[in-house]
Amino acid sequence: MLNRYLKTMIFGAVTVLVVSCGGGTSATSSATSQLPTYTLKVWGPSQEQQFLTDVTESFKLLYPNINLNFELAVVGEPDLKGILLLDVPGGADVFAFPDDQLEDLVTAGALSELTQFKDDVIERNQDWTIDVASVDDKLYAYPNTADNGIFMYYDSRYIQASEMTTLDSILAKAEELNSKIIIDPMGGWAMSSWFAVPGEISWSKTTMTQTIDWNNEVGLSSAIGMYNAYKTNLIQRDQGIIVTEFLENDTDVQEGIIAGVSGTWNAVAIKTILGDNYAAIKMPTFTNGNGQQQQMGSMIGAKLVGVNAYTANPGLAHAFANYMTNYDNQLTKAVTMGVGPSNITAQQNPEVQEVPSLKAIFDQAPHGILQARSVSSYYWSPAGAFADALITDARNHADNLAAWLALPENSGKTEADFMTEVQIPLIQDYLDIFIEGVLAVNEA
Amino acid sequence: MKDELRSEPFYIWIPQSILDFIIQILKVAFEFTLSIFTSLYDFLKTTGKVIVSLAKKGYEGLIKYSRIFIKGNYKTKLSFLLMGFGAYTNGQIVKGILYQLLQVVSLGLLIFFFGPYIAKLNTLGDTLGTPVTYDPGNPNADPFGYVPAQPGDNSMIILLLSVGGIILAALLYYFYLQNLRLAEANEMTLQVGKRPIPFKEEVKQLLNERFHITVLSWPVFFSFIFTVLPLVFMILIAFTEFDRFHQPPGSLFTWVGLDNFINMFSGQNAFYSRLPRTLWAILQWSFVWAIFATFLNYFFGMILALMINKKGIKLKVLWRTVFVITIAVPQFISLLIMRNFFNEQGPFVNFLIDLGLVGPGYGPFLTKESARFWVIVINLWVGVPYTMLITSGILMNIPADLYESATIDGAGSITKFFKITLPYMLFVTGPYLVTAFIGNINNFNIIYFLTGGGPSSQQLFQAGHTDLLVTWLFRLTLFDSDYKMASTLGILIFMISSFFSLIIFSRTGGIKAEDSFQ
Repeated sequence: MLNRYLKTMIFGAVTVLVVSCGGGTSATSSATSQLPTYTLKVWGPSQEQQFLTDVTESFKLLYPNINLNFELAVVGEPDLKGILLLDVPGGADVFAFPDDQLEDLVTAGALSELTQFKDDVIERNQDWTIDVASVDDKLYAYPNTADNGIFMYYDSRYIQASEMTTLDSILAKAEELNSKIIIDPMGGWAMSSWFAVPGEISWSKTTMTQTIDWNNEVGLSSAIGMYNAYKTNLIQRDQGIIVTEFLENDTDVQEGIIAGVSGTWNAVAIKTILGDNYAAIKMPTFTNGNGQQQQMGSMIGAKLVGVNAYTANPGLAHAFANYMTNYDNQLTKAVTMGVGPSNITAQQNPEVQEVPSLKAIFDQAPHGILQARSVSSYYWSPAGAFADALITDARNHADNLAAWLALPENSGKTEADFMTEVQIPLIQDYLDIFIEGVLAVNEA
Repeated sequence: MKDELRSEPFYIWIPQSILDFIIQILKVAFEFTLSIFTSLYDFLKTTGKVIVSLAKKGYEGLIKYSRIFIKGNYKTKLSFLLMGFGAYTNGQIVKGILYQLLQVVSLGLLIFFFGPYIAKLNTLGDTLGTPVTYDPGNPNADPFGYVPAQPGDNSMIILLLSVGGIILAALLYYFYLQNLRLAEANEMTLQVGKRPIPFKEEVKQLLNERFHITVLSWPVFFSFIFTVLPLVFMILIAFTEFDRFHQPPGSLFTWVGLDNFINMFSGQNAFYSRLPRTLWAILQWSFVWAIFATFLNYFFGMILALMINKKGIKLKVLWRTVFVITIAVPQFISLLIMRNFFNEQGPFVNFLIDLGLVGPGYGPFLTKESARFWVIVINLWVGVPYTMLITSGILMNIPADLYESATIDGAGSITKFFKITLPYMLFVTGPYLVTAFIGNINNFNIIYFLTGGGPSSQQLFQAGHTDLLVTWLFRLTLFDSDYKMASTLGILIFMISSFFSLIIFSRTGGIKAEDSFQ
């Protein structure tokens, strides 16, 4: 038994020694090759893994005098913050994330400030993408795309571009064909389009101040316009099934939709479904409570590439991030994946201008508000609740109206009276609660 | 009882039985509410007794070990300083060396690894680190011109490793006391004239007579690391200010004492002003939901089991198998499918629209009342097979002669149900109902996958109308990164669940004892 004991102990000890000797970190020289070895960890979304592999290969060619290894991993852009903040020093050296996560990442000290390439990045990218990548004049990330936002896709078999300019004409067409459209409030993100253009909204992380005035008269007028649109019951509110709904048009347009609000993430899928009938256009105008045409806005955002503040290879990481987001690579992404570039020259490239979804995004951009500069993270819950409350009332408008008119004291009154006496004060209430909820962050 | 059945016609005694039943339930509810107060008092009394007995034990332990020191010879006295001294000088060489090694390694770890973190435990860090900077002129710069990052204090790591260090210290203390008793035992053995057990013998003993120690020690050890450590860590977070505005490594956070609990109950911080209202509303809905979910499932399961069990139904096994197959599908898959099925553009709503029952804008999960109603109904659909199985088994065990004698006495099936089946079932499944009730208060899956906690509410703080306490906690953690509030809420949920479990279980025990089955 002692022999067995000894044998097991020796075996165990040898295993431990061997295991601990294996594995290397960056900047170790291997005995065989003379070149220093560096490893960079890069995180990107699953649809870009092929693109990233190509980019890393071409980047390696720029540094023939070192041995460069890349470790790619799939981390979806919306999940980046949650995963990175679990362990910042152990996270990737270069990673991609949407601009609304920038502030939290900077608070957590996870981003390395741009110094070496700062001027070049500022000069070659669109102004507002630089704005959302900065905090207090310090640039913390490399702008990569500029196409986060909404616009309308439509099926050109059933509706023409000329009819897609006002929401009224779109709804009229939907009613004529007995079909529907999709406008999903998306938890407050797309809902901002009803209020964004005439309203004032801003959020400053450094001073932790939110300003928003969407419950004044102008905001009320926008909300009434939104109410009137949903009241027609021609608008569905689930953006997640927009692709399947377009597919229904092949069999019966009454089961499907003729148009829907979505973003570039669905471009490839919808194009596959609609084929030649695929078309996209910027957001239409709608009739607000005062009877005027009001342009629907949108929240625009960018995707950024950041470098880990605790990376072991800052020089290479910054160089790679800069390379990954330069003109050539952004143009490649635009043409192959339909992703809108933030590089000014790339945006003006005719190939890019030809992509319908990108053209729609660029046309819509002047009416957009910067998501990262407009709302704190405490906007979403009140906004979603407001959308639910308003849309539910709008959907039940006919029933509520009938019930109200049936009351004896309301005999002889009209729908307009119902609106002024009951519904509009209710909408004002919803708005007030919504704005109060959003402004609560100022007390934090 | 038998006379009642014979003399009155059915249209009198059925309502009367139902009334009796309701009165009985009301009586139980009333006694239950009263018992909450008596239980609280008992609980406080017991806690007091436990504290006193712990103090007494501590005092006795002190006396015992002092006596060991005073009465022991030099070897035992030295083992107060060097662990294992009382072993390897008394013939147990290997065991002594193991103890000594344990002391050296643990103390080394505590002083050099855990020590720096424990030292900062009271402030949870005060200096931030610096990230990489681009400074080609700096002598510390690497070949690319960047100065590497300087690590600073990370509040989360400080908290975590301090707790780890404290647990290591506790384990060390335990083995230290073992060591003292070992020294004394060895001294006694030597005095009597016997030899202390050599190591080989001891190992054989541990594999034979004392195998229970060998087998139990590993789970205990690992449960300390993987269960107790994270638990203590997360409980302590509730007393800090760890949230999205205080994220390490870029920011530090520190202790805030009971502020989070005060905010939870009074909402004096303007940002959290809606917290107390939200807590109360969600608590109410959690209880209402648990009552409906448990009891509706129970009764419908029982009725289903009764129907299948009835004499004259063919293919009993087929019906039971069909219902049991639905259990085979993982719950969250069927729930996600149900969520799409009940979508406002989905088949169910279209069906209702075709029937003309609802208008085109209807959505089952769009309004508060509608969402709550449908969640309870869908939960019924999901949960009935389970309760059917349980009640089936018990039903088949009810002695048949009870039913036969009732039939002979002229009882109809409804009487039989209320006087025989129901009391028997409640008697047997009492504990199950209690566990199911407490479990349903925290039934995360159904609520989260069906409605996500929605529809969103304008009045509540980051919560919706079908949110339970656990789903609210989930939202706070994941979407707001508000770890401190989530941890506070977690502690509250634990206190509520355990409080009600203890009360109800003690009541059930009482019921069981006094309610002899008639």
